[in-house]
Amino acid sequence: MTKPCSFITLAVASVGIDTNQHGTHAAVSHLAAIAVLVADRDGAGSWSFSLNHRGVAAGDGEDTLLLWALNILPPTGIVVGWQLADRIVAPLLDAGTTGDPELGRAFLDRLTSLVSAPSVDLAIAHGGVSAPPLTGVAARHGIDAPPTDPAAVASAWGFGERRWLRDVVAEEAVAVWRLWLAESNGMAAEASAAFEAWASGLRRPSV
Amino acid sequence: MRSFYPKRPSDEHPGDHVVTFDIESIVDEEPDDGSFPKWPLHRPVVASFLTASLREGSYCFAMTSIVCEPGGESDFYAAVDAQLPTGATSVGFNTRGYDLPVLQLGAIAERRFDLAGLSHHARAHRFGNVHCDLAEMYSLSGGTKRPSLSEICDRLGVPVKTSVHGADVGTLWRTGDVAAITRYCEEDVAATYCAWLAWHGWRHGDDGLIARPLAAFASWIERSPEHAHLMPFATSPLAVWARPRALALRVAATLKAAERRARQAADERAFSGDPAGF
Repeated sequence: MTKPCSFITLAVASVGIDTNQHGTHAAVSHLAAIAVLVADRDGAGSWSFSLNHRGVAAGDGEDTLLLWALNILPPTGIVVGWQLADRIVAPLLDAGTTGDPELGRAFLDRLTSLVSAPSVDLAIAHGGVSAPPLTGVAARHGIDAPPTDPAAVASAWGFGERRWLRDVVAEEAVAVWRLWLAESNGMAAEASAAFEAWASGLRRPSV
Repeated sequence: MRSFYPKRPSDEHPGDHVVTFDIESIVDEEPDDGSFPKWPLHRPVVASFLTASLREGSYCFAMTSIVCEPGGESDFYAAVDAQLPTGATSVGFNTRGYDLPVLQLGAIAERRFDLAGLSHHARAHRFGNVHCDLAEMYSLSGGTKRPSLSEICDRLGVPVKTSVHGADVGTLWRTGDVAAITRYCEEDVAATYCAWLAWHGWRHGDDGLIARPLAAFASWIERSPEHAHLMPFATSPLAVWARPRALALRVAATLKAAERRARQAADERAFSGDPAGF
């Protein structure tokens, strides 16, 4: 018997908004999409998975995404991501402090409880903030990952391509989870097999 | 009635502006028996300084290495002095027993009596808060035999002495490989800084005092290609522990700000009679 545990792989797409030339507003980011891949291991060692993803367009407001994420994110678990502090958590913190105050507080309360357990940033072993793009690192293990293209994210957000946005973050979450399994030095054979069996039943061929 | 017993100076070294340093030196003639030459015989060839400052909630870092070229000794000590401002906490390992007396004697021998920063830190009180000699801190100021930096770092999960060793410095200097000495000196400084953060966090019972600056130091190393030789310090066991801890502290701090904001919004709604939000 092992203790049940949840692993929450997060992927986020955001649009950077630079400081203006007069310096009267600071550089901020605007959330565009979030994907949450939850891998649950029960007491018997069996695995189950769920993948949820959502995107918003310019004008939709970040609160829509935060409220959605608040309902999707489990209360406890180990957070996994690629460049967690800078690419994933930073835009979430920005969003949690700029929209509806009560929603922001509730979302940050959930995020605080999640990152209180040691989180896993897969990029650290590859150079951290200066790591090569996820696409290249994942490819070394034969894993497909979407290319990081801030301009394409900004365009999709600006022109309302919500489906494109949510597919990109979903693909990233799956790629990051697969990368973690692949870099486990053979320790994740059961989880890998369970995940691939589950993923083969997903509708989207890219996943 | 006032006590006539002198008050022990505080060892609460301020941590917001810290200069961690180390020197590498040579002697003109190595002893035949292979023993470590007496400190007055040493001439510094490289000194490295890591300045870590907390500004507006963010940690800033700068690594500076100064080479003492033959004939340039006077300028060398002036440059060393510029790295040790009187307002900073200076940190080193066995610095009271070696680095500071060697630098002090060298500066005096060069007739540089105008170096206020170097003089300030070299003359710092053993139990004061101006200079922190980690060999003293970790051995409880003479409570036990002084450990080596390697011994402390091995236990803390910090890499140290990864490229060359102190005994190699003389050979490297004579063969002109100053870059290797500089890399080695900077590695020792980075290891000493990690050991300082661990000490500082322990001294104040606050793991944020190690986790936040160590995570920032790791990111700084990753962002600067010229410091690629310091990458082991960004992925050391101590850094791997500190980075998620720093992230959790950052999120928790943001939550506190969000709670204040939500309370303020609730107060304003109550004042204006609006119903509650989401």
